[in-house]
Amino acid sequence: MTSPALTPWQHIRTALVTVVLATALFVAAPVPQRVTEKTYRSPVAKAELARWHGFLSSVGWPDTQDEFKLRIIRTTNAIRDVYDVFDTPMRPLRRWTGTNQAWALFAVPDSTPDRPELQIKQHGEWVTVMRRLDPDARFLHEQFTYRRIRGVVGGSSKRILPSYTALGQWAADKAFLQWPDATAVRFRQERSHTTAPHEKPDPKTFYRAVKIYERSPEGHAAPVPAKQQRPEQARTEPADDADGGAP
Amino acid sequence: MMQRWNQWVRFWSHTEHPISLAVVRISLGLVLLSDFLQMAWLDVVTLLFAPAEAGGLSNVLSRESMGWWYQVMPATEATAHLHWALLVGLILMITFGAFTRTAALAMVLLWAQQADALNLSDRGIDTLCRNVLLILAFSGAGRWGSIEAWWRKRKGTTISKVSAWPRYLIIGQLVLMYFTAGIQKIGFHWTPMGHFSALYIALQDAAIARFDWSHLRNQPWYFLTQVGTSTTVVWQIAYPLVFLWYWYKRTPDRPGRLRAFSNRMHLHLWWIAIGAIFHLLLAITLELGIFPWAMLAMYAAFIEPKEAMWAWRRVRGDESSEQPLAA
Repeated sequence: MTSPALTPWQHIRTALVTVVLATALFVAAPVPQRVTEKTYRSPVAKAELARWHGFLSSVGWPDTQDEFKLRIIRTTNAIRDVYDVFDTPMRPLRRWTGTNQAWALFAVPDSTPDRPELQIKQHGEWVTVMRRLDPDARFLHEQFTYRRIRGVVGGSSKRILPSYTALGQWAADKAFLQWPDATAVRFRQERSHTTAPHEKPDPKTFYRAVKIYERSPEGHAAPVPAKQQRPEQARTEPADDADGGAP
Repeated sequence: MMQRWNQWVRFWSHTEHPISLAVVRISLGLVLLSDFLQMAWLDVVTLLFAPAEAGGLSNVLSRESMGWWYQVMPATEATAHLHWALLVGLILMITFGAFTRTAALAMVLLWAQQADALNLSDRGIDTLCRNVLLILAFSGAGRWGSIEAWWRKRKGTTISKVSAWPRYLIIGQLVLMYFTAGIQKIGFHWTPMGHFSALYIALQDAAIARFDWSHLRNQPWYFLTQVGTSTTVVWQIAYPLVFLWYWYKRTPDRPGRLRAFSNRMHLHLWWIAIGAIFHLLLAITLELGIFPWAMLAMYAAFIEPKEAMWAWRRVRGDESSEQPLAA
């Protein structure tokens, strides 16, 4: 039995599907992001560099850690330069359709995670009203658990972005409505260091991305400029004792 | 060379009953609907859709290059809610199969505007959903279990076969995602040198953990996380093998011990089952929102239409309920 003849449309359609497949494979190629000296200021990147260098040294790799870092920077940027020549013309289409093929999915698990925390100031004392996974502090807990809001918080894991400040202001507005006697709201992230069981435990935690909001005469939350905020002290207590902290 | 090309063309020219694509359409639509309704329930629509000037989190208006939505629409809270409402309407059209192709294409373009305005709120699963919706926009996913199908039936038209290539592309998309996610797991904790501790480390992240998993530091729990970590890496990197298992399933008459073994053991089902278990465990342990559910919705693409029809008949308890297929 012979197969029916193929129509011109079937050839055209297959050619288009083939182009789509080739494009998807190209975009999905695991090309590294541009790496700079600044990248290695991150504690996670520093630790990864040290671990990989330690392992490669143990099997005879001759580079020092600095040489190894420079080699990574040069190599990743050279690969990225070539990739960008082909990728740049496709970017407008990807932006208009919101499509992509970048699937890192926990490529490097975060060993220095942040726990969001919201506090109100009542009668001169800070009271924790929201802390992730704390059953006694669940104000706006669902909102801060929601993946899209979590993405906004996580986006400020290196430096505070305007969206983070605006999110804190929104939460502060809600808190001022809920607690009319609250005079200030503090939004911050408690950073811890997760170590694997074969590594030395590190119980130290500290607060970062601290934003304080005061009630404006109109009743809305207004962010206090960073210079007027008292510096937060590094904490060394276990993380589950976090309702006090700096004033 | 020409013969190979013709074989390639014939492969992408297969047609089949639309039920498998329809199940992807309906299940993905329901998952997206739950996500968008959750936004309203949490009262975060303005936050996520409006620019900062109208009470949202986005700085879209202060950028040199902004998306078309806020070029043509006023930057108000009402516009943000209209944007959300239009997306919900399009999701309903996709789920119920009304003007499915147009709705899927419009959904991709309109959703991309929200992603562009506040890209921090747009996660990998949102991108994957748009990729799949874009494929559905060129498919016959609306030909079964839909208002379109009901309308056609009313006019006396039988269900026709649709192109299978959109379903193959969705399968290809899933394989590509798992494989590239697997080979990019370069973090030391994913490797034997890092004692396969990645899953343990990820579960300690208070921002995404569903519960306090600190007890996993003790045995035998830590060992189980190590098994989970190593299985995840191996399974993701080996995911393209599912193509081979499907090829063996499609060509059972050809020789080969591996083919016989694969078909006897239904290895393709094992690959899919491991994936389903993986996503269900993610849903239990981590707060990743729609990620596991949207992935499972897309898994419907792996189901062959005849398998789906068999299941559908079982659900209806009607052995003779299969719709006639046009030649």
